[in-house]
Amino acid sequence: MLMILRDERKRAIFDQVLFLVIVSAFIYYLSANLIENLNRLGISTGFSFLWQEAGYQIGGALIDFDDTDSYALAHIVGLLNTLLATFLIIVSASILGFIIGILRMSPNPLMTNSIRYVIEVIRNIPSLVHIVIWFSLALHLPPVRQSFDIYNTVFISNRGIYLPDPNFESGMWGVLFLFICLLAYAFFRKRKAQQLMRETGKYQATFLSNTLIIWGGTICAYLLFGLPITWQAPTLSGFDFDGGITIAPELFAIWIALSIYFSSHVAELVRGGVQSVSKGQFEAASALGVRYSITMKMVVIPQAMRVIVPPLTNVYQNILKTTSLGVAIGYAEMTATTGGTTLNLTGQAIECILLMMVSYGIISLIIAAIMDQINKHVAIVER
Amino acid sequence: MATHKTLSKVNLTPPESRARPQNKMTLLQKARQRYFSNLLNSFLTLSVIIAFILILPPLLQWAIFDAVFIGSTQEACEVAAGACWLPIAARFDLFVYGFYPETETWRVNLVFAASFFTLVVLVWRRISMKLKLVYIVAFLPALIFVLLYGGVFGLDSVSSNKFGGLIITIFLGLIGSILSLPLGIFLALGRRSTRPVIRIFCVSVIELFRAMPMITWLFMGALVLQLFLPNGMEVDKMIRVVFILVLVSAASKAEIIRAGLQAIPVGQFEASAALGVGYWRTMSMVIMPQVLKVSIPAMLNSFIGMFKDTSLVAIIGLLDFLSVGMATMNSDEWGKYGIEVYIFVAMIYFVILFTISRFSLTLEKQLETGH
Repeated sequence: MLMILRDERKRAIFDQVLFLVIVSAFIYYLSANLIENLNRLGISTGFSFLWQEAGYQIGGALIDFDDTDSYALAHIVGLLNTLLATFLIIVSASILGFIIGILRMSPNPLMTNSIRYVIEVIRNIPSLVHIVIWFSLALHLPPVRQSFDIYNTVFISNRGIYLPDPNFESGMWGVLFLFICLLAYAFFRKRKAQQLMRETGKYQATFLSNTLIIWGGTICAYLLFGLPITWQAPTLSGFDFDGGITIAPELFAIWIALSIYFSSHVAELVRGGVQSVSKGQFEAASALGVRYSITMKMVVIPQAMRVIVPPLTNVYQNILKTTSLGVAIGYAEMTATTGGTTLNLTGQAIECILLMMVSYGIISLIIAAIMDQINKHVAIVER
Repeated sequence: MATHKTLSKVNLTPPESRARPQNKMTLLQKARQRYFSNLLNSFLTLSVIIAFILILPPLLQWAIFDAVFIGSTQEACEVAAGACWLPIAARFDLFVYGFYPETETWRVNLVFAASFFTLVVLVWRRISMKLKLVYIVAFLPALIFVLLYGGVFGLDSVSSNKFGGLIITIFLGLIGSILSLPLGIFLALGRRSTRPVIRIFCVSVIELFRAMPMITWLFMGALVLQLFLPNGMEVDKMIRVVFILVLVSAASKAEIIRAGLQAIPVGQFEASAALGVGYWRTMSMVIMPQVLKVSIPAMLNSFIGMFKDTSLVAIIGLLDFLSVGMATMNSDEWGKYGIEVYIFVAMIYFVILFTISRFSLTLEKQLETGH
């Protein structure tokens, strides 16, 4: 018997069979308990509960939802809110993080040191604490009737931030079409300038003129088509505002808090990336008389991006996972709807968890796929 | 010979040494060069200064000069224009000890001291690696369990629903990350195993726990875990949460250890295989000591992450440090002063985490035996 274990191949099979037996016995034990408990509590398994009436209301839903709609729709509402928060936080944390990261590497010691301390403070406070701090700040804003207003179009109160709602008229299609045409033209000019650079070495500045062409043309078209966007400003009626877009305090709090929290992570990645570019590159550029800003833009950042982008995927996936903390302040995202209320009301724990796992997994994979495309774009092209 | 001749002509007396060139820049010139060397630099300097002027005086005015520090009831705060720091003093015991019996608080203090001492042990050069490991993996968790739960050695037994505040935060942070270490090692070894069945199982466990947000797992621990246990078997909520934290943290530790395993040259495995050393002895005597050494900094980082994540138990209703703050804000008496309470909570988290990260930096420098 023991001789079997001396033979490497037989040993491998023996190990795996033993492992499989132990694991399946364990899983069998757990599921037997589960089935017994579910029977005792009178909970039926399966996903059919998704089509039942949810019977609860969700504040801050992006699509129409009321308590006669199904649990499946409640899941969609949560999913959309998760997507919205993830998208907003990724965009603002990246922009903020890049700015902070670049400033962190500036030659000015006053700037670098103050940013270093700020990053240290932000990083060492848990994300949930950031969220509750911003949420209690948002609730300390003045009530609706005494809200701050900016030229009577944007109102800031403890019920949320009210923005004017744009109304698009048919002329907007013309403007949009022209905008795309101009964008294509600008792209063509840039390609031509690049070709000129490759062939003759002559540098032709296109950034400023292109910006002028795109925005100047679009604004002209906008005027020409007779101002096709009308803004519907929120108006105070009774105890609340009517019309306009509302950013609820929950979304506001989680957006600001997590943008700040994750911008410190992005900034550290940017710093690591810039430091990974060898010093010789800086020195060569400055020996050629290239200005600091141009050195950063043309020499350092393209090389740093190769180091920054792969771990950035991780940060973005963390942002997705961390939006689940919205449940603490009542932001109706997936963990709050499916993982919280639905789970509590139906008791279909396994199904709810599976549903969330699949949803989070798919979004995570989408983020990874997009970042993979960006990574291909910035990675070293090897021949 | 010609070369001989030329050599003899060479003047071998060293040239007279000169003094180091003096840096003639005055302080003002130096400052100018550093802070106002060009337009961009001046702009950066000025914007930092303006930000300080805009932020600091009102903040100090609010937090210190106009603030209320003395008093015990909220009436003292009614007239103040600034911050009201009274809820912190009023609820300090709750913040630190929760509902732990007052006569037994020395045990909690001892746990805090032992936890801090762990950091000292980690960077103490004269203690061997083996002893450090024994202290952290065996002695510390046993000490914490015995002291907090009691019931042995003549200590009074204390139920875990009496725990609260900083006790829970430190208990979960430390126990969760220490107990996850062995599991993390096994998962990492399994992930690199040559046996496909074991490898696939470990990969799926690791990815499962990494794919979902921590809070979902905590919900699962609080609400669902009970369903998997035999009928009538009740497990303490604190233990269920520790169990969840250990699993989630083991998945992230497994990835750290896997990275460490990949850093070990193949020669190490081959050499010990050539000597006829078996798998488990190779791993425990040759590979793991090296892996653990290189992955200590990453482990401390993951410990910091773990410590931050313990704040999530506030959502599932355990009375941890943050949760005491939330309860204070929801109370009738101190409800208006939520921001002050949260600032205090944030400051304490900062102090603890910053200390750990400094120790981790020191340790990283010590372990750097490369070039």
